Amino acid sequence: MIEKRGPRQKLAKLLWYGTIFVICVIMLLPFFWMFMSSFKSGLEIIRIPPTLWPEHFTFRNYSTIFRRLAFSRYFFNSFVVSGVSTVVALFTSSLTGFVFSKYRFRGKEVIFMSFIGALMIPFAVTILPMYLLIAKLNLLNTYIGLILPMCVSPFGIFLMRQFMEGIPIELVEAARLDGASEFWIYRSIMVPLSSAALAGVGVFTFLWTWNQLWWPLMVISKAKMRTLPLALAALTWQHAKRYDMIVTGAAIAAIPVIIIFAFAQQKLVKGITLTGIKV
Amino acid sequence: MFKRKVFFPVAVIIPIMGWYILFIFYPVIYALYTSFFLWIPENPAVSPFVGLKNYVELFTIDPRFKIALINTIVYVSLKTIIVVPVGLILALLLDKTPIGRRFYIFCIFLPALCSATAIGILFTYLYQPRFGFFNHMLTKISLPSQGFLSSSKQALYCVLATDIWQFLGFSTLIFYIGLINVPRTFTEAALIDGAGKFRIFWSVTVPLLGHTLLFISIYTMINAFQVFDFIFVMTSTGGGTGGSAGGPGYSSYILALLVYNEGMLRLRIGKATAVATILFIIVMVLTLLQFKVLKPKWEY
Repeated sequence: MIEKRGPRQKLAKLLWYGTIFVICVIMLLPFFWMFMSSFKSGLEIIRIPPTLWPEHFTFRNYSTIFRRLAFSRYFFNSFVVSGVSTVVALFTSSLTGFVFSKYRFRGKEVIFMSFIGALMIPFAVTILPMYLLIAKLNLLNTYIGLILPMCVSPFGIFLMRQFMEGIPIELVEAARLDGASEFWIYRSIMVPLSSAALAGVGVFTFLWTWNQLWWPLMVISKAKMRTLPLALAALTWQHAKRYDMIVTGAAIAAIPVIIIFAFAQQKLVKGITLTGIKV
Repeated sequence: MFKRKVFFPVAVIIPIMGWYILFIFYPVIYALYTSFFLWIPENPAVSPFVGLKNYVELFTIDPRFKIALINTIVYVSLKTIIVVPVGLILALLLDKTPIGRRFYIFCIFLPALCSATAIGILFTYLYQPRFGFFNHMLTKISLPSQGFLSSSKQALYCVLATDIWQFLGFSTLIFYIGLINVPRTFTEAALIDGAGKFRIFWSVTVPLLGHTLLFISIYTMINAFQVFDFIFVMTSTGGGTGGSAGGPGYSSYILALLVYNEGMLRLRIGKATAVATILFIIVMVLTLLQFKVLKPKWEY
């Protein structure tokens, strides 16, 4: 910004910071209200007019949701599904990215385009046939049924190829001359050199699988196998009027995200920058 | 050595291809194929072929389809029209802010990281007509209380507002990264040539953001066409044969919900896949159109 000092500039600056402040308030207020409400009793939460600070600060909602509604189990389910999906998707994306960036074979670009074109297909198109397939394979209500469709990420393949194109081919060829196996080259050269892109793909895959509702809704009918979003959605149809449970459920879903984001913000933003969504 | 170089890529591509066939290509073809049948998944052999009947029925008999189609188009257009420019403006504010940038990013991006389900159920509480936060605020500034999600005129827009509130962080961050990547030499050159701030923004920065603009508008559009989570957890059950969500009445019905309700709850696979096919065609045409119209003609 050009530095000029005067009443007009001061006013402009004030307006500038005012705008940013208002935006931050708009983004944070719902979270603030959520946490405040989660410490209120079931009766206080439906009081008219609503209170801002909880009258009697209580953790009862949290203990109810974990003990009686078994949310620790749902956390565990979500963690298993997202964790395994992310690890497998990272492996398949990097391996496929490596092959597309460092080998030449017939029909490569056609295959690549057909892999990437999948990004354009709405989930609504594939979800019913996928459900019938998983049902036929007897994988309903299983972790595998949840994980299998998430094992390959078209977006991940695209980003890994983009990134690995930038790694010099000479490194690969030198290793080959030294008698290294192709998998060794992948594991010891390509993967370490693309750790930044892998971090980006990993974060996105994890978030995507952690947050998704529709696929678990199709595959899971047993309460024990619910993932966290599914358990949250179930709160609205089982406990439709229990806003204390609903708001506490939303809070415990947001807490890990807030903590992780607060600590890893710079890395996350840098990861997104590095994956360079420039298309 | 030569053999190894052939074996390795094949060994990688074949299983990946297998996955694509199972979970992408086969489902797409299956969806297209079954949309011409009165499909019985347990016994495909006896499923009667009905030609375009599923499609014709959607446009003539089923009252939900027309509503869902219009709602989806309104939803997608409004979301794209709002999210793209506002995201750009927020990114510009962010880019020019000397201090507190990390906190600003934190605030804007936080909702985008949370699940639509968590945000959705939180907002059902905030929108609650009697003791919810929004009506509390409205009465405080002496405005009339609103029905929000329980009003058939407002439900869809309440969901849309929540969706935009969450999605803005994503578009802002991507625009911000795009802005960082714009070489400063261009704007500096324009400044030396005596161009005004607004002129520089409009004639230099925006065109140079072309790739980012294309990416965000296409991504937002595809994403908005698929909206399901928000509608599913936020709206009430529609009346009659409406199935889950989409209420009050059919007022917040969208295409993805129709696919779910017909396919999963009423087990009318053929009709559901017909809706999915229509959705697919719309998304594809609009994506290609955007590529044609917005594709930048320069690189830097």
